[in-house]
Amino acid sequence: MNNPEPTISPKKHLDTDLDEFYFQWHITERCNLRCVHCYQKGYNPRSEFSLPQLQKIADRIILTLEKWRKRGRIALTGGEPFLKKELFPLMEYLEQNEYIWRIGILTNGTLIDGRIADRLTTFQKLYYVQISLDGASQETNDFIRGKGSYEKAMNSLKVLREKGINTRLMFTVHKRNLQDVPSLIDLAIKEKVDTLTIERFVPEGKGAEVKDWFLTKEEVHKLFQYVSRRSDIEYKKGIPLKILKYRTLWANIDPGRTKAVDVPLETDLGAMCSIGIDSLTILPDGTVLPCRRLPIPIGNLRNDSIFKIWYTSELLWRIRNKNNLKGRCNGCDLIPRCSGCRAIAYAVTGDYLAEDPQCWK
Amino acid sequence: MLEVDRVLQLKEEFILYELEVGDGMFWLFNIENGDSFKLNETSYYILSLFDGNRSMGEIHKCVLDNYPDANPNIIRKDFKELIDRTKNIFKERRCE
Repeated sequence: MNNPEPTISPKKHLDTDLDEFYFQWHITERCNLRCVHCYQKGYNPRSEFSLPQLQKIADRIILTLEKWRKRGRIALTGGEPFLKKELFPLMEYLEQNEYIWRIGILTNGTLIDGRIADRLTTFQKLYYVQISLDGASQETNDFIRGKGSYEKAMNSLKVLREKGINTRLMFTVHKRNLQDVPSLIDLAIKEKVDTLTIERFVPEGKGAEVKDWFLTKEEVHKLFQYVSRRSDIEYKKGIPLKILKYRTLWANIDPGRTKAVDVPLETDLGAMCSIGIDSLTILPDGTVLPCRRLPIPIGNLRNDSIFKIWYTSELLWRIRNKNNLKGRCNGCDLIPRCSGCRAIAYAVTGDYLAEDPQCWK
Repeated sequence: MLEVDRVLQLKEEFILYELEVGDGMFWLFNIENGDSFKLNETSYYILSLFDGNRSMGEIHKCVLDNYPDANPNIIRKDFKELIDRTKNIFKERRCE
């Protein structure tokens, strides 16, 4: 080596330019539904945290954001988060800190009434309430999520909208509800939902019992083509519904397109899996997962700092290094607009570095 | 002057990491307070030698051997500067 001069430069966070960090925080496992495809295995309340313990976890999050100078996006969920009486006190605690930028709630939408919606309007940093709906009709949805869940979710949407709260719908797509996608988009438009997310089913947790619901790559390809076309059509008609497509595999719909001139940022196609880049999942007992759908613990916030987990997890480092990806994901020209879903690769093959089995490329 | 008999090693809260991508990315992390430092390959190589088993003199010799084409005086100066700049990351072990 001709120039061996040693250098050492302070960096704020792995040298990335991203200025946000996302925590998906499951504050309870308790749930009043038993959805057939759920990624949870159990519904155990024993290891849940009290409010002071939750605040300690929040402090770890805040310390990390402060050090990295990142804006924190926190999604509070469960189980069903509205079953946890500490939800609102925790939100109050989070709101007080300048590094907590936005708070979302991911819920099944069965417990929201006018009183709860009123309370939600008092939070300045509440960015959205996301309700899971797995069918455009009562028949499809209730088959998957349980009797009466459709009506309650729709009522919650209405109540939230009346209070001016930003609403999202989460639709987990598989063979039992694939046919509902066109009417689900109709429904989202009719109900004036702000954002629709169509997420691929990951056969893990309870969902591993219905592996045959997993879509083929051809089905996913057709679905993504349809949603992409439909999204552009609705946008050109002036419909404000955002259909989130900054997810893995979407870049493959139109590899040449990055930001089309006539569509807004939200309809950009594709994103890398966020594992090891800008997100972490926290479970009710403090266990940290790389992603809620990739159930391999990488630490526990009872004992570990986020720094320790983030910097020392071999799993995170293996996934960060895209040279480690296997099969068609290895060397794919769509990186960094896609890197395949690591959770789906793991659920289907047992190897989180395997190629995404639903990629049609 | 290099204190050739001193034996230093990284404190427990510091870890070195090499990400094997491209020509390599090299990091020093403090897992207690979250500090992170990007290193070049030379810094990474030198800091990785501070394992508590080698004296400063031995490490300096390793570096000289590893870069035979470089000017030994410049290596000595750079080496000392690196140690001075990073002294807070080390703890001392005395030679038996």
